[in-house]
Amino acid sequence: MKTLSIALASLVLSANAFAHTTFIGTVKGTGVPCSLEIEQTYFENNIETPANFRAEIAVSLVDGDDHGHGEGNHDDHFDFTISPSGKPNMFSGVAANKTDLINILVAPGTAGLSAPTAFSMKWIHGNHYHTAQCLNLKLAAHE
Amino acid sequence: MNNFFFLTVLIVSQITSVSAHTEDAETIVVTGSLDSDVPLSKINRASVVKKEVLSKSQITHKNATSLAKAVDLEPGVQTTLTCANCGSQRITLNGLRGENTTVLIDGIPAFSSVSSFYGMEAIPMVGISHLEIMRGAGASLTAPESIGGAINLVTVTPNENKFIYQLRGGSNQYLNQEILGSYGDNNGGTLIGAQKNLMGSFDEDHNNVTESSRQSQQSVFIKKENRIGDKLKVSLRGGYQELELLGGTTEATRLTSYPANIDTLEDFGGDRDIRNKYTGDLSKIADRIRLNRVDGGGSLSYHLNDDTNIKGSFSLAKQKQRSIYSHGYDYDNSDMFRFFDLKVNHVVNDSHFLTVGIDHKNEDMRSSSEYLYNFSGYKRDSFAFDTIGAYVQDEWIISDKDELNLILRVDKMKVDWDDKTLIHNKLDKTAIAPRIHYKRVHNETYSSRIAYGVGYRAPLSMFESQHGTNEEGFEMDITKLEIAHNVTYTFNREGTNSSTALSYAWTRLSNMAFADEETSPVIFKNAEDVMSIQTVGLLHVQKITPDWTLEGSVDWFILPDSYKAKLPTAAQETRARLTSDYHFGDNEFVAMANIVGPRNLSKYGYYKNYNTLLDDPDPFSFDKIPANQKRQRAPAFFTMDLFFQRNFNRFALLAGVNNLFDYTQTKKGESPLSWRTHRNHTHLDNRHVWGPNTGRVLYAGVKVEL
Repeated sequence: MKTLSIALASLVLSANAFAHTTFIGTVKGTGVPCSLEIEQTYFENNIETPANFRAEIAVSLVDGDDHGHGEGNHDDHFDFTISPSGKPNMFSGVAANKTDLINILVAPGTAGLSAPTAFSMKWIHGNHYHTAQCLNLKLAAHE
Repeated sequence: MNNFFFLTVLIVSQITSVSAHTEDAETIVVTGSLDSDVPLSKINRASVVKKEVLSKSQITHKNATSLAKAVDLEPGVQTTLTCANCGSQRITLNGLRGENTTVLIDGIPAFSSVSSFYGMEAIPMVGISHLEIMRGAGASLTAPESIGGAINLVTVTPNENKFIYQLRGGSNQYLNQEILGSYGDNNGGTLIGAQKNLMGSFDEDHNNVTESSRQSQQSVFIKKENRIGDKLKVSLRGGYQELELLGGTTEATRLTSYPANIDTLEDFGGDRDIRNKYTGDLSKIADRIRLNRVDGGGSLSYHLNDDTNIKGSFSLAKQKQRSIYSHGYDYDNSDMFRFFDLKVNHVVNDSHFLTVGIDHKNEDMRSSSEYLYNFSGYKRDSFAFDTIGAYVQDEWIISDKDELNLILRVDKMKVDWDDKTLIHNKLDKTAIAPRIHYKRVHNETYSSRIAYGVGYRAPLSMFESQHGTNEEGFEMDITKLEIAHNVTYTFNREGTNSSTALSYAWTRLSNMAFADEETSPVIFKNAEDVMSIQTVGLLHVQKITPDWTLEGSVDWFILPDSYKAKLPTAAQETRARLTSDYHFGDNEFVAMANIVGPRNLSKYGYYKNYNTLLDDPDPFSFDKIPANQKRQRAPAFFTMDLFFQRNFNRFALLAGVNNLFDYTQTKKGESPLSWRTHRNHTHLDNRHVWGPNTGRVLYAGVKVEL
């Protein structure tokens, strides 16, 4: 029982440990900075299993400030709710508009989103889709 | 017009094919019964500036209903389809781009580079007497921006009472009507004309996406010309034109707003092969372009005395464009063009004829777009352009064999782009352009022309060079005028039954303005490299018999790779044309054969064009992998046009076929449609253009002349 409690506590702990954490990478093909910020992590219905892991994240393909939110003429800031994709080392998510999609690769053997390495995104821009990949994610220097 | 009819020729050599009789022992006078109206030479002999002339009958033989069609395949001229969906046709001279071609009406500039983007298809041929094509920078005294050259539309002089009605119709919904009425005498008169055309779209592979848009055009014009006394001549003209281009869909879809979604990934079947039938929403592939143009112009010429006259000219044009593109945006513009010129011509003595003048050109372009500006917040490309120039020209008749034109122009050009957030939003430049035209008559048969000229142009709008990439906005980084130095040499031989012209043109182009599509947003900027563009042409006209004329021409366009990479579509690099014009009795039969040589299309950026899109096998990636690259080498191809006319007393019956063998690039398995990779996405595009995209058109008609 004690072991189970510790295990559950560590799962919860690991789930929340990387909330409000920012990772910085570069856009594939252009080298422009991009970022992923983990805003919140939780478990669906409070059932703490890997399958129920959820995270609210914000990504940006233009790193305009310390918090990784985009700048520019139009909104480069994207919010997603992500969950395990069913594929190894990969999470995926949908934006609130039900159209924009994201996949996040994590380092093998790591828990949750503690070590994302890259994300791939497809989003609607006006009336057409764009895709991009943000690679070589590393913990932001100030984290 | 009678310059091209040789009724009497004095010769010293043997002629074998034309009948002759001797008047006396010293002179042989040859009178040819030259029934044919085919000119023996396309080059205006009297002009120091090399001018190639295209007569109205030659325009009719081509079944040309617009300027774009009339001049296509003439020596040194290409009408290039820059967008198969929207149907934009640009006229290029000596290999220079469409924005470097100036169009004049009766010698007066009448079009801006913005209004000529689609305008070449709107210019009617009714009321046109002939066209003059002047290639090379500095060819036009009043149009310094004609880096490639100038085309002058010479309108009919209303000096007789005449009525002409022409009706032609044929396959693919083709319909053309022209009506022209003239009332006048040697003191002047009035000319009124109207034209209405329709040509349906072409979808040669029947995949529900057109390769050539549906085009409808209508226009009216009026011209009044009068001599008042012995000293004053006034000429005024006005016109109205409408043009509609409907591309993409075969159902002539008329969009009223830009589509909410232009994603066509799943609309070509499971393998996303654009050669499959398109099954998606028509609004995602439809282009709709509408043009309305009102223009007017005129001149007033006053003889102060026997040696001096003053001439004032003006041209005004307002053109509105409303367009919706399958790239997912709307774009409208209103372009107001004004031109004024005042010159004094003075006969200094028997050798010098001096012209001094000033001119002023002004253009205001205002654009609007719900998607680009209101929704997306992109920068506007509206601008105000103003230029004032002064020039002096000395036409110096050195001897009866040598003639020299010396010209100096100075222009002060200002461009003010409305959007002050653009990288560069102002341009203020002064340019000095010397020009020299020299003609040497070696003897009765041979002559040479050599010309050096400088042309300069203020790039004004990315739209004039390239549209379609505006769905992500643009940036303006123009800091310099385009400058071109041009040298042209023409060697001309004119015999009794034949003429030959060999020409070479070299253009050194600096600061070429182009749209860099590999940045986001697209940047309209000056190129850093200097480019050399060369054209070699050979033209031979041979009268086989008095009734049968053959004309052959060969053109080579030698373009550097850095220049090719910036062109919207592939240019023709080598080509040949053979025309046979045969008169028999009251009949005329014309056959025109055109051959275009092979080309490496990858130099024009066509390596970005693919037939299919596959899913990236990596489950992490949303990217699509373009596959099955489109043809990178355009083959040589051959097309033929035929024309027949039978003349009666006051009317004529005519019939013909354009593209007799129905050759299109699509029937060769290569439609212009492709997936085009474009920075971080791939989208549907229609610019893989290398050959004809209009199939065979059969037509017949009647012409009434009273």
